[in-house]
Amino acid sequence: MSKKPLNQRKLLQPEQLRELGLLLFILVIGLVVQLRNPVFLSISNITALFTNTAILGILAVGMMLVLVTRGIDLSIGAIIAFTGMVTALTVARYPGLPPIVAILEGAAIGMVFGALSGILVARFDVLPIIATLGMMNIVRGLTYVVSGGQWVSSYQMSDGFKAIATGKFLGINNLIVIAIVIYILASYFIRHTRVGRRIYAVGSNPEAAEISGLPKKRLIFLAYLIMGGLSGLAGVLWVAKFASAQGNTAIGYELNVIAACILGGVSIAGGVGRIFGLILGTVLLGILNNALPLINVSPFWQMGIQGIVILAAVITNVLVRRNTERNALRRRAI
Amino acid sequence: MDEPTAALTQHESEELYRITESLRDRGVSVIFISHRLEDIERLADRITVFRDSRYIGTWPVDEIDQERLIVAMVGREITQMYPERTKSAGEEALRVENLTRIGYFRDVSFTVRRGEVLALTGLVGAGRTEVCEAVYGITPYDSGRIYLEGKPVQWAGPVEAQAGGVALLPEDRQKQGLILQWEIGKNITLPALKAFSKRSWMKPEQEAEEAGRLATKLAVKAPSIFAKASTLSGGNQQKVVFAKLLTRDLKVIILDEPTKGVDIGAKAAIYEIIKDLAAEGYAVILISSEMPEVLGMSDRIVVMKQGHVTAELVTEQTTQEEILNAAMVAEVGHE
Repeated sequence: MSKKPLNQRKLLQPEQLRELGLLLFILVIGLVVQLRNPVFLSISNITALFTNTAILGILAVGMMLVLVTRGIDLSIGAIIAFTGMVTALTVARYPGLPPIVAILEGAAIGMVFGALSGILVARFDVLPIIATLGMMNIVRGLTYVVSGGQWVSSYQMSDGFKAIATGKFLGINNLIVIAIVIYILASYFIRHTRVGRRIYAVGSNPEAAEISGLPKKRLIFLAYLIMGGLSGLAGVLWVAKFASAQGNTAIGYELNVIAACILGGVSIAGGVGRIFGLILGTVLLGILNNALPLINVSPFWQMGIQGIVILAAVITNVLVRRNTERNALRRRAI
Repeated sequence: MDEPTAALTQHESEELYRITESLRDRGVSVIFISHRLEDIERLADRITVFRDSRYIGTWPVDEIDQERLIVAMVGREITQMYPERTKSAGEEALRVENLTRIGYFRDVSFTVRRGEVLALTGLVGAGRTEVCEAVYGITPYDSGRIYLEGKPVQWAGPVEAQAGGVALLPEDRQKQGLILQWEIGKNITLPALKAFSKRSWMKPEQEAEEAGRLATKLAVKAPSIFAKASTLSGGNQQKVVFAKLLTRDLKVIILDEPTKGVDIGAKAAIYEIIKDLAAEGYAVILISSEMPEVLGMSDRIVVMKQGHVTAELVTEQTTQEEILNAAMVAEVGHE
């Protein structure tokens, strides 16, 4: 047995190496775009970029937790539409409603739907993709039911409500501030709390976690509950930002969120996902959305390029992991 | 053939030996990978030993005796496979009465005392694992009673069983015991996170300290407690699973085939751990199919066959024949 103390940690983990690569990639893209169009790095464009990415980033936190438990949530686009619609209708009816109440209302409704998905997955063992697919259709349908197929438009919303998305706190757009707060909370939750650790354990090896005495079902339920709450919050922010609530709001948006997670290194197979990687993944997706139009890439090509970047990131992921595993084996000094 | 007998019963192994021999007689060259000395004795002409990923040597089987072979495999001499145990059975820890799960086991009763090692043996598929999983709350049972320290208990799941003071070392350490891609230390503390956190906030220093203490106590061979569990050998992985059990305040420890697929050196180390656990007052239930292990480690033996208990024996007063007879020949049930 070695005489070294048993509590020395290696400096650079493989995940950090991967994130470094992602960071470099973002810098290279930024540089190329900047050379083609100097508007890119202007304050106003950067602000626009982050404002437009904030909602995606908030949702990605919830999706990461769900993916970590080996699940997936396809219902979030519908939940955004429903909570957005209901809060918009509330605000249209009661213009004096304080914005914070609207936000809480949206989050609470979102949590109800998240809890339903969570019960289906955790209690009744329904496959997550199927449970949330069902929820997606139900909630989308409900959106049309409560709105009667009508839109809620900008003139029906109070200025206070719209200020949720347009107002500033310490000179920074509210959406960005909210996203930053959520990332800080999530980062602490994942790294420093018991529940965070347990959620990762359940995702990494559900059977071992259960035998170790972890309340597997409650933990999985919790992931969907958080996802639902964040979707509800995002629904309110979305409607305030675009000043319009429609039945088809955010259709297919869950896939963008999943894409951001995958770019950020979250594994669909569960157990893997870090906040810093998630930030990079979200920002990269945001940059692609923002920068490609700036350098006159046609909209038809934009989607294709996004797809290629996602695939490239996943393939790099596999290669990096293979390489680090090989190095780890080499270090066993055999 | 790579460890073909690892999951086989004695009877099935015999069948495999015959097949292998007939292959050999037809002129097929056979490379037979095994850590079981019985396989070698029974089958091999020449033996090659690897240790720590190095070639150690090759000998004709009849030119090397068992002790020299073990020295070659382990790198040191194992004078005594099974440690000397002082008997210290105290009061009753766990009593199972007429436990039945239809289709799996029927009317299973046994008692295990503090400081005692109770072996639960029988052929693979006799229902031993199923009984223990029911006791631990992983699977339900249809009727019967479980008493912990004389009080009737009914656990809805492992969470409650652990809180009650029962822990299980599962049969498959890689699939059920460990999170392979996690650090050793985090694996060790997983069942007892409450002890290393305050109002839900983790206390990393306390956690690392306790994990380090347990890893040292069980002599886990690893560069540090931050090394990933996947980088360890089978025997050391098993020691980490043992360490997980010791983080909790326990009364009864159920060990399901704890030495399955580990080399002889690690085996001896695990026996040492089991001895210490019993000496510290834990009640130990040892599920095992290996006769020498059952005879060498236990105080009493419960034999199961087709879901029924066919014999309850005192280890000192029994023989391998008696156990095998109960496991394979004895009449079962009456329906």
